[in-house]
Amino acid sequence: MNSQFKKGIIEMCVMAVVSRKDMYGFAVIEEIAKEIDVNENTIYPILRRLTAQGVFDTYMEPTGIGAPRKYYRITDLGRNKTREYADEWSKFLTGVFRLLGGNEA
Amino acid sequence: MKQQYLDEIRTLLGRYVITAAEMEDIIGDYDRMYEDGLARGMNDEQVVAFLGKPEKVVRELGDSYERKPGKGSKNGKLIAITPFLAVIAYFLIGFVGGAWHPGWLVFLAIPVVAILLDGSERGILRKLTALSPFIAVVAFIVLGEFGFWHPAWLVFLLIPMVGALSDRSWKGKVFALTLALAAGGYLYCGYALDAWGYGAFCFGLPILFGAATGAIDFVCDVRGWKKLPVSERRFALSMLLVVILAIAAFVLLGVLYSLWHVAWLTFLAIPMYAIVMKAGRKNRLVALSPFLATIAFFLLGFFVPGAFAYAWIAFLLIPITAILKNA
Repeated sequence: MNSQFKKGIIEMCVMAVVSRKDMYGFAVIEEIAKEIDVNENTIYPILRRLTAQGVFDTYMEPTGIGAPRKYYRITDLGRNKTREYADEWSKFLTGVFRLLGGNEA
Repeated sequence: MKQQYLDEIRTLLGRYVITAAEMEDIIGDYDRMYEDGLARGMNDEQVVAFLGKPEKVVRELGDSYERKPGKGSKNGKLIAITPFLAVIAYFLIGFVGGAWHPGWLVFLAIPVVAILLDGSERGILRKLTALSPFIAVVAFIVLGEFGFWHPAWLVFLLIPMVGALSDRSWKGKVFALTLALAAGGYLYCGYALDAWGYGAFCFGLPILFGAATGAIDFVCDVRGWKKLPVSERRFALSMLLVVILAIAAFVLLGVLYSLWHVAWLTFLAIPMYAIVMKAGRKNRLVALSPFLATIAFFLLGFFVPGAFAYAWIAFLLIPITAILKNA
């Protein structure tokens, strides 16, 4: 699969995962790697880029042991974008399935 | 391992236009994620595989930053012409001054200039750490030329000393101090008491301090040990065996044959064994070449009369191996 295309999908997955609940970096990577075959090293840069774009904001949470963790939280802008992407993705998949002659998503 | 991983990311990120605050933020994030991985029961290799190797991480992160322009390319040109300047200087020193040896030392200018001008290495201590092997070699050869081959080899302790000093914690700094004290004690025992052999026990101080503080990592974690794959356990046990054999050989050669001055070479077996077992087939010989060159140099120098004058040729093995590997 084209790597840019895959990156775009992973970006959408990162947004979807964080939109469900606030998460720290390692947990986001874990969550995504559990479901799809992905280069883990791509996820943190995506988290960082999306934070810079205002899709996420961050806050620190004490852990009880060791250094506090940085949590990522979806913003209103991020929530809107996630919805937009999900709609676009759904339409795209429907079209692809039609073209392939298989079941619709 | 974690510190090395973070340092590599920091060094590679240094090639991009990035603020100090952003750099610290990224390093802090990777520090936490690394700790999270360890807390999940992963070992260092598994954490690195999970988070990505530093080169890959920085390549991904680098998409958001510009590479440093200007100075790098100018420095690059300077680095590129250094080998030619070294060759010219070498022939001038050889033909005009007749000092082919130690004139060959000018070739060390090639890596030294590269380290000095490489913008990715920030901070005096970091540069000094990278330069320390070359400083040690030059000091060793110069002192050797004055007849002090032994105990001039002590200058090689500069390498771990500077490395330990660049550690931010107090442990690293005290570890460097214990190395200096050990070298001082060894020299005192040798020169003042004529007891070089017993003087070697001074090096127990940095080893004990390192073991006690974790500067030298002796891991005794039974639960962690059980989680290790069988191959890793075998490797750890074989490393332990090599260490014991090296110490035994050192003591035997010293006590039975009074060969303390060359017996220390047996300790080179420890890193060499680790390289043989862990380095990829492609890089194995290049990684081994400094050790093989050092062994050849000392064995020739000590056992063939007058051979120190040409034994240095053994060190040419290092660039030759590297050139052949990259050809």
